[in-house]
Amino acid sequence: MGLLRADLQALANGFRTDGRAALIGRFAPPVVLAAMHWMLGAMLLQHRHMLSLLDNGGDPLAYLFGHALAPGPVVAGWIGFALAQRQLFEAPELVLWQSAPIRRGRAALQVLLRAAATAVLWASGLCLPLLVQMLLVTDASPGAWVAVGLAVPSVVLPPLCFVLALQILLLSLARGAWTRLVLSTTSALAAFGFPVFLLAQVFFGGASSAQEVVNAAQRSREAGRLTGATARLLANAVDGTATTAHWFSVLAPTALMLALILAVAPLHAGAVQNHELARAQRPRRRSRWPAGPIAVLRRKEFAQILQQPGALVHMLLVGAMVHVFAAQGTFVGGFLAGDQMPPELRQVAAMTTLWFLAVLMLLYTHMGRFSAADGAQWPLYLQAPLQTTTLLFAKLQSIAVLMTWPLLLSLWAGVQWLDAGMAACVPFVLLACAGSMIALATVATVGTWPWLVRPEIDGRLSQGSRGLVGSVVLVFSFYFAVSPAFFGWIWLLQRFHHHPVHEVRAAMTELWPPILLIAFGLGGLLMSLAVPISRHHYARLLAPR
Amino acid sequence: MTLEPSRHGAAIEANGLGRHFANKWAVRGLDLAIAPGEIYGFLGPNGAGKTTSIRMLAGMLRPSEGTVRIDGREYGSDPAALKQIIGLVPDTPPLYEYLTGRQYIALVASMWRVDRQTRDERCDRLLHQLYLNDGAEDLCRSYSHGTRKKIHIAAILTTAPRVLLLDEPTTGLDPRSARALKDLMLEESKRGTTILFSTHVLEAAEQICHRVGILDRGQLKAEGTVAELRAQRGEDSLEAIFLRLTDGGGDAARPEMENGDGSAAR
Repeated sequence: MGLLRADLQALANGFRTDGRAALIGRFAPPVVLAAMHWMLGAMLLQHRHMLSLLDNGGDPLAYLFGHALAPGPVVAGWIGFALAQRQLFEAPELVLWQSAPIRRGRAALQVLLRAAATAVLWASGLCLPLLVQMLLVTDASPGAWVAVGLAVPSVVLPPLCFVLALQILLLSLARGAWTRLVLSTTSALAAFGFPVFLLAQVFFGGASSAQEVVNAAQRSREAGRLTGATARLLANAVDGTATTAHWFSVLAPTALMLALILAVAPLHAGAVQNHELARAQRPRRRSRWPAGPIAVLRRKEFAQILQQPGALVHMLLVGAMVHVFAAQGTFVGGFLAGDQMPPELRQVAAMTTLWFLAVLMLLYTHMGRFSAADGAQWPLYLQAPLQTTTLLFAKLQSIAVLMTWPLLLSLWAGVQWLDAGMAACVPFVLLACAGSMIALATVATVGTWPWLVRPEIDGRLSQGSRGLVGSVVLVFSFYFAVSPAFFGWIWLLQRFHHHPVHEVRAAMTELWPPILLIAFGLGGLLMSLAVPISRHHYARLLAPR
Repeated sequence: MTLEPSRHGAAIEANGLGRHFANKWAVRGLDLAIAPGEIYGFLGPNGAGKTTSIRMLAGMLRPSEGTVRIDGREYGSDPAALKQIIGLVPDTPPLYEYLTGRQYIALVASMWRVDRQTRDERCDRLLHQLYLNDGAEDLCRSYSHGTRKKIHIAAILTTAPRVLLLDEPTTGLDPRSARALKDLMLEESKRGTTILFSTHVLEAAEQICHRVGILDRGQLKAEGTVAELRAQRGEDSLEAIFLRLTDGGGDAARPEMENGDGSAAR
């Protein structure tokens, strides 16, 4: 049985009773995303100028197709750097592949095939909903439907081949611990960036970005470099004017990049060896750990962040993102503009938004800390003579400490970039403390939910297909829990409409105490609900099966 | 080497223990009585139900029928109190990849509420005895399979359990480490620790076990000291007894012993 046939057989085995959960786990996330993107696409196409842009064709239509295809290269980067990198250098099958009498480079090509199939699946979920709706609206020719079948692979395969070839080349030519560190950092970046991209699509895509997309299309802006040729092919195929040159411009880069990976693949075996040799064996200082279970479990959470490059990079990246958002006014520009509200109030709103975004970027990881991240070690928890509350409080305490990171980041960004003074910083810190309680209550409730983490027969916990569901439930629960803050801001804007700034400032002096009281009251209420709920969840997870 | 097992006062006791997955029984009607300080070897082919039995004894898997008593007590409303005296070494050690070996041992010791000074003393002694001194400050992800196993064994022994359950503890260990582990088990036994360990290494069972039990297709086929089994079965070696009792079959010969989730019940 060849390698390809073995993979296909493994996939087919998924249809058996005992493999269905894994199969659903593989296909459910892109299908769920496709459904969400169908709705987002429908909202985008409802813009009043969209119909004329689609009907007129030409460059604006090419731009719109490019916009629809934009997730393709992002998916390729994510799969290439995060998932395929692990497959290339750390897959358990490597031992077999390398010891088997198969052609040199065959293992790398197998990884490419797996990565390509996964990337095309995810990219189809993100790109096809809008592409198909556009073709339906434009009453496209049959040629366009043929072209759309090729569109997703043509924007995914070239960057994916390039990323894989680059990693093999890097480890072949520049061996050493630094190369390995660079690769693991890019892997962490990709693993962090993709969920952020998805969140941005969900929260800032659809109707909210329609005007921006229409403006760019009306100015006949070029589609991205990686999607431009395919977008032009589709735009011409819609009215049946696609030429051989259009097809060639799409197929040539794909063929070129396939040739590149074919040329580089024989270096893979050496790159794997270099990757293994570059494993840094830095002697670590012997640390004196405490003896109490809560203190040690807390310490364990921090050690896992500091000693795991991916986790540390993740935390630092959140800092970088907050820095970029604050420096460029992304997402907070609206709060800072205008002079209706006193500057310190606008700064509080902007810093709170930065805090919200930073928490959003970390929330799913924190959710994992309650149970899923310890999935492989769950047999140890099952066997340990610990009370449920001991384990839960250790986790709650460590996550509470980690929750100060978004607060500190937003505070620093406010002082550094938004010129926030004490009048803005003090209320912000208090609001963020209350918000952290709300966030903690949300992750404690959702992150321990036995429905989202399934205990296996050997005691391990696994998420299966519920990882995506869990992240969606978590994000929307948090969104819902902090929504009073958004409504509160709108109420303030309406309440002080046309009031002079000095009057607003005076009124706010009296309004801050009740606002903070409500915020802490909500945080306290949610925590008082979350603790018994998560304790009940933990007791269920820790019970023998 | 014999210890008289007595059902009253047994450190590990199982009565009619059984567990089924979907429609298949992995273990059925298992009766065990292991005396304090006894080393009991749990033998059986792959898929015989050894791991399932150990998980039930460790309180990780709820029996479908029968009862488990550890130190005379059942897992009831306060399983944590019972777990305090039990140490389990599973076939796959549940190490944290990004903790060092010593940090992992500190974590496990804290879960069993071992004070810092005792922990450090025991940890240093065990690391030395298991030849782990050099790698104790490396991250667990860099360990070989054998080292991972030794780190977990050291961690569990740091908690000084009175009942020690080991699932194929010698698998993956080099001869020196395997010898060290056997010495440790004998040492623990002399201190009064009751040990049940599953193994495929019949020689190890012959060397250190007070009694052995041979499990096949979820049922205990024979039990006793090696000398007793030899006399009863008229065979010269434990291997011959094992092969005769288990009918020479492996997993392929016993598809009915697969778990409901497709994994093999050992």
